[in-house]
Amino acid sequence: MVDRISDPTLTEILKATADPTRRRILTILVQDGPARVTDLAARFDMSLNAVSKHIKLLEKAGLVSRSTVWREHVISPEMAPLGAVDAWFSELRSTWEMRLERLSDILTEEKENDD
Amino acid sequence: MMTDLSLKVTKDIPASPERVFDAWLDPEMIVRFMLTGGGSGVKQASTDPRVGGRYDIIMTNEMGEVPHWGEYRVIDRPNRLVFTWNSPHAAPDSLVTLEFESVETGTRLTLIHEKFPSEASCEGHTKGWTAILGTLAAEMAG
Repeated sequence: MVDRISDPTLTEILKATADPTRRRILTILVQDGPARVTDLAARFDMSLNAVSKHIKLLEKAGLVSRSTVWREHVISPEMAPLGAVDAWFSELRSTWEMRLERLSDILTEEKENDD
Repeated sequence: MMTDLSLKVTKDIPASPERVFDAWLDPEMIVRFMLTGGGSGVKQASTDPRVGGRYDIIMTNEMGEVPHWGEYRVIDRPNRLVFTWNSPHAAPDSLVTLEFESVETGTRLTLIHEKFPSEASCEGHTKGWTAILGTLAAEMAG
């Protein structure tokens, strides 16, 4: 639990997906497949430079990868890192389950003591 | 591969909704059940059970002390309790909603833990990353 929560990868992923533009970029890449930086930029009302910065942050978090095809940078989505988020939620779920179980035990015990 | 990212846990507890509800606001009870896992404990808990009031829970584990804190948003005894949830490591200000439903055997408690879904007050980085992850999860499942 502790290791997972302090996992820098998870922090990077959450930061990277915190911005609406970056989420949009990711969604486009997942839905439409790999795209050139210039084509991605054309879909946003912002400069190529600004979109490029967002892509770099996604890249840093491992959520997209970059390859060069004929001097053009092609960006592809990378799904694997999202497993870290999934694992975090799974752990959180089992923690809450344990707490509710414990609460139930306590209240059951007290009831028996009252009787 | 991906599970849903707004976390929901349901548990039937053989006690009245009032008793189950009160346990969440009672520091003595919190110390007993808000554990984190094997070898963990709760060193201290304090609550200020009113809307806007703060709670603090200091959990302990092998790494040391882990403070948790938040603010009560809805206190509707014995139906619904909503509070924010923070810890130093996790993404900030997630929201925990508890619903207490009276059933024949006692109380059906439903817990939902989520990032702020769409609160306008919640700017930038706390805003709805679950949305994209949900979209991606659906994509991957498809």
